[in-house]
Amino acid sequence: MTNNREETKIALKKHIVEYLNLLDIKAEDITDDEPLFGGRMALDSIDSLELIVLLDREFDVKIENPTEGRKILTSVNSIVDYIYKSKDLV
Amino acid sequence: MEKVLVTGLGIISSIGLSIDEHLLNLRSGRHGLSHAKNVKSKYADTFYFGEIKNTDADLKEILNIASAQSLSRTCLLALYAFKNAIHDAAWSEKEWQAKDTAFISSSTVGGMSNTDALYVDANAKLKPSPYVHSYHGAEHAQYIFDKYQMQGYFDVINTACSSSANAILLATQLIQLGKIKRAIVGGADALAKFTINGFNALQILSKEPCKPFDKNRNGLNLGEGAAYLILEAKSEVKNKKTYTCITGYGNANDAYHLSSTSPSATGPIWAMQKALEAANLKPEAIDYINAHGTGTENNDSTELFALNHIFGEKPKPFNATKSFTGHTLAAAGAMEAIFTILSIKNQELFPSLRIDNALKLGDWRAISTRKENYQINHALSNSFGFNGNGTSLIFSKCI
Amino acid sequence: MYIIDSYSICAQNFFNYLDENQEMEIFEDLIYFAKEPDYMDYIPASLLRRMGKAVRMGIGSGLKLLNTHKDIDGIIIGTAHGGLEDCIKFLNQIVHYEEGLLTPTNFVQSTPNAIAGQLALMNQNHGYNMTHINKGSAFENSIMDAWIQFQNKDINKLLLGSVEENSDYNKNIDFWNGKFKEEKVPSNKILASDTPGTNLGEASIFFILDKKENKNATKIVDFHTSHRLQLEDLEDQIMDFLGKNNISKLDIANVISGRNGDSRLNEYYNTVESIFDNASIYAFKHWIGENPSASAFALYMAHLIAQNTLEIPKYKNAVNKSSDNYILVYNSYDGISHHFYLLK
Repeated sequence: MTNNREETKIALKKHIVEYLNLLDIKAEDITDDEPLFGGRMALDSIDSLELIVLLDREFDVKIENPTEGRKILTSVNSIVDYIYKSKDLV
Repeated sequence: MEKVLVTGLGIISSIGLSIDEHLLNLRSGRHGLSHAKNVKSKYADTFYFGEIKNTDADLKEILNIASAQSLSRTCLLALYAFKNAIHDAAWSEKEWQAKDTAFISSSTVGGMSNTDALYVDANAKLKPSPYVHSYHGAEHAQYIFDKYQMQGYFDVINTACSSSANAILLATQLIQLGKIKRAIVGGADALAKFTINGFNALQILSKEPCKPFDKNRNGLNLGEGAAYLILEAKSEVKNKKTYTCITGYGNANDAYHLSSTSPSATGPIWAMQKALEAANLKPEAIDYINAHGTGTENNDSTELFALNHIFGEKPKPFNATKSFTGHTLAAAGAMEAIFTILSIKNQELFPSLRIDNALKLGDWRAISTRKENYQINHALSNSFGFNGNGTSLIFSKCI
Repeated sequence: MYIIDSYSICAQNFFNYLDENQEMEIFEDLIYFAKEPDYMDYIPASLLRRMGKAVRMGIGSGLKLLNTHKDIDGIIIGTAHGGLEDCIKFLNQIVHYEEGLLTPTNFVQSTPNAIAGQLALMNQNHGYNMTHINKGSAFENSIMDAWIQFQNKDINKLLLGSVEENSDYNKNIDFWNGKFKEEKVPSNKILASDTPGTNLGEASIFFILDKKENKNATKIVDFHTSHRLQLEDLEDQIMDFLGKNNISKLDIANVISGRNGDSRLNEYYNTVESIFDNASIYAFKHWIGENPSASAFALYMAHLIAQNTLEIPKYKNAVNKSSDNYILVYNSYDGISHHFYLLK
């Protein structure tokens, strides 16, 4: 995984589109702080489970349970913050 | 309309190989939940399961089936319960081969309980495994239908966790309408790596014995088993042992989410309302409810809400027998129908286990102790499945 | 029970577009894949993204009808295969990740009642909802189910459908189970074949059924299934079926035959077709392939014929056409359960 936050954000957005099979949203159109849940993407609880798997497989980062997940998975920014925090990076 | 009588029961689960054994364990609060020994899965020691202790080899021996025969575990469980049911109803070829006898079964996993063989066959990796004929959800039923050379109406349902309850619903309607005279109905599901991983992916399995309707519940335990009921039209039954009548049924869809119930519990409420209408009963007439009660955060709170909504502030006794057997998926509806019927037949209530800190809604809370000599005229049993499917059945003392 | 509307997704564009200028396509392969419409036009992307092929096809057909008939009282589906593609995807995940952390969508979407469930969700329909899976009788069970529910005074209109997809999963399993021929036979020659096995096809066929009498609709007059029917008893069985409905063989104007070029069943279809030399005979499996719920397509075709919607090529012309009235459908998927339908 890169140490460059911007590159991580780009990679994350691509994975989000792939894992959730978003048909009408391109990776580059996802803004860093738009709400993933309750926003235009209308993600639900099954998607939060998919995102937990995404983080595990692509970034080697664990989220213990869905409740914890909902707090972390609010936006691309919050997820990237969590990734970096988990790896003790800045 | 014809009255529908239940004249035979057959069941196998983690709490017994016979009706008597089930009664003994239900009465003494002895559950069948443990880590798994038979099913091959990484999670065998992580989660608790309602696993039947007998291996496939044991079951084949009991059933007098050659060990070389490649039948899935689901099929073996189904055959066991089926045989017991027709024996309990004192049926012969005359009944099960009649053209007006229906067979309606159900399974969610079917032969996919042989998950490893399935992977090999589906990906055409090697020569076909001996299980290549057995994967389909209807396979166990096709095997039985063929073995017994049945000729009547033949149907197999898969609506996830409400499957066998729906099998009962359909056969009841067919008998009431005079389309058939009798039926064997129920379902079977064996533990399988496929379903264990599916439920784990949804993160709804518990690492402890499940605690339905407890504030600290944290998921369900998967179980396995099979259950069949023999239903007969009253006009066909002369002087025969009868358990109860089936007087009501209702099926509805929650239409909210694929794997969780709406906070307003629309589906469960509609299902129960329809069952009461079909039975021509007011909510007050129900004396006991066997809840779906899986032990998940979502199911138990929404179901409790629904019960309170339908039956009002004054609580009725209800329990979750999945606290004994785990969630046996397709078999659950028929299994819990049997427990409900036994409650009515013996006028007793079984406890719901492991309620230390009861989930409450007003005065509503699950019963946690056994009650003997309890008058039950009418009882309701709930089964709610994935994809919003919900079914309620009403059983009544036959008068 | 009346068919008042129908929609199909199958291997032939001919039936999708009901366009006289379409030609039937000829297939060389063992499996005829469905021509799927552009679902993005009417299925919300947020739901479509999750759907495996079976669910897509089912929703894609069912929703088309629900958009015009919003007032249905229930949804009944027959599907022997269920969501196979999702099933194998989840299975492969289990093996590939060694039972590690897995994504749940494939599992949930592989459940056979995902089709009925999502149709209910999208239509906000809380009514009766059922899914039948009994292989070559799944569709027949759903028809019987519809009949049963129509006896309820509160149920007047139902959405009924069948979905059978094909994927690597059943291609391999069906191969091992001897469903395919050993030799490749193109679709335009398959019906004349006399070797065991056939070609498979996927289809999603949906109907709006209404219980109100409707002279402009197609009435499903009667239906019957006979298990383990011996060839020598076939004619008697048909005559009983017609007799029960007070009609004779001369009242049958059209016969829709499920013949598929599988030598193990050819004699059954030969017998039925020869009994009704006074009727036009239609075959259809050379167009759309074989699947456990092929009867659904036969009923779809019966509806098109009854409604005079489309000029469908006949398999055999009537020797001495005697009637304009009834349509008989005969089909068997496995040679064990034999299905008969009478429509008008």
